[in-house]
Amino acid sequence: MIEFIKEYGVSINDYENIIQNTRVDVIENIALSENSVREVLKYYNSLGITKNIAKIIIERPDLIIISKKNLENLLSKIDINLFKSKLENDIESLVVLGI
Amino acid sequence: MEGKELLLKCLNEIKKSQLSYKSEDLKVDGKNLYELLIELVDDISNFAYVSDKIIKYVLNESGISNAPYERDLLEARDLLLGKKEYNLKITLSDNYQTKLTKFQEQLCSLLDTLYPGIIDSENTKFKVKTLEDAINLNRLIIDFEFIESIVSNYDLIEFDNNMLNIMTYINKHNLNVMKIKRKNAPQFDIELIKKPKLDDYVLEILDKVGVLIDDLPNYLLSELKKANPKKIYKTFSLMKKNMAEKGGIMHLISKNNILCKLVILLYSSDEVILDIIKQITPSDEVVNINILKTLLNEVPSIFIEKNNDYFKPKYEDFKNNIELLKKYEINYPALIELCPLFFMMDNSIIEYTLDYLNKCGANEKKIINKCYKVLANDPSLLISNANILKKYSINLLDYFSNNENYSLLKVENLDSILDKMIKDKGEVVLGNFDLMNKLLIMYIKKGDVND
Repeated sequence: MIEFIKEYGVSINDYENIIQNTRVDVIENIALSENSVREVLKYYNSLGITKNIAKIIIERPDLIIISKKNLENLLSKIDINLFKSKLENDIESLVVLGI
Repeated sequence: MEGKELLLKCLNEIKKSQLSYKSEDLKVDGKNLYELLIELVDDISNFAYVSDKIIKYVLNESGISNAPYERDLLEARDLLLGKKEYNLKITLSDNYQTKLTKFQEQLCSLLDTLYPGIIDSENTKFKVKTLEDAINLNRLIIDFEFIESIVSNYDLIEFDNNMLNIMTYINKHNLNVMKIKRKNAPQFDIELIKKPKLDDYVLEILDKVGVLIDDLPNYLLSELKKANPKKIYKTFSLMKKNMAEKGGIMHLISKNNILCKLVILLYSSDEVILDIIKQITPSDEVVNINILKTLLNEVPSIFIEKNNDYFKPKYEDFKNNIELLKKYEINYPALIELCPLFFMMDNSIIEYTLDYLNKCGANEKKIINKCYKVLANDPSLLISNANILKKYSINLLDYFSNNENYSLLKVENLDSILDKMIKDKGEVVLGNFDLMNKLLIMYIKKGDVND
């Protein structure tokens, strides 16, 4: 249903992990909003984010189901390296940093 | 006795005291009159399916033999039938509306006269079943008024102790339900022996949308075959209008997002599309096209109303969530842009969370404004953290009244963080919210949060 996310760095294992651990309605909505999600994933790739895309989908789907423009505005409030570091080690704390 | 066991005992007591009558006794012309009443209360236009026999029976048994009144009811029924079955453009006059309301009241009164207590009895049966389902099928338990009444009925003297016991169980139960249901069966396409032949209306739609049948997955073909072609053509005609005010939304969906267009055609309706547009348009203003585009392209699930095997309907949740925001005068257009996912969250979970935190001293509007991202992703975290703060003897009333920063509510592993704060600054830090918030940010930036 959302196989297209593999084009943006999601591995086969990560894909299975996403399917097993993400809310049903989120998966379905990603399928229905493919164009918007592709833009967002492309943007993450442009920031050098690929292997943590699965983590974002599972833990913070609100950072996937959002327009690219609004995501850019949001991430402009934080140092990108800090953002990437938190994605890697401690994605749960991003919300406290305003993301 | 465990809270769950106690609650089930209270339910059994109520069930024992229920009226017993035969369902067949309630039938006239093959229709259960109590069920008819429920259908009319739910939507008076269901009067379209009330037979002449039932109308005559209710009027006669109510002691009303009034030919003009009966004639008006029959005419109103026929008009409603025409509207439902043949899509006739009809609006019932005030006279007909009044007559229908009067009939509904007479039916209610008649049922209560023939079977005293039935209305209450059936309501109670429904509530008992809903509560049993919530306990056994892992759904939220939210009818606290009913629970209080059955606990009081069970043992008035031990009411306080029993309620405490039961509420402890309910809070744990609800928290478990709210933990996001992660186990998810992957979607797969279905096998077809041969591709179905689609109706001409559907073929015309596919042609205009610009999709070839061979490019469609089998499950969509199957759904298009099963759908009422006239109904989806009607929705298509609405969607392809030029003006958004009139339901024209096709041109606002990304051009090559065929799946979204077909799913809305299949599982939405004119009424839903127009209602969503109305919900996001303040009166006397033009439709905010940007907001509408955001909804269509980021959370199209909110347009889905009909139950189906492939996509969870989210229209009711959207409707209830946006009404919630309006109730608290929250800037919903901004929230649609910042966090469209919020509008898809199960409304009963959001309401339960807000109610729980309100009972802890929180202001619901502030919770939404400050914690909408957590509400969109995992509302149970807010409740868990409120409980952790309580466990550490932090006065929640104080927390919510004298503190504008709710970061402690939003963070994972709060108990480890509080332990670290106590280790670094002593127990005195608890209650000094300003210091606690600063420490939290420091720990997060240094990467100390998971130590």
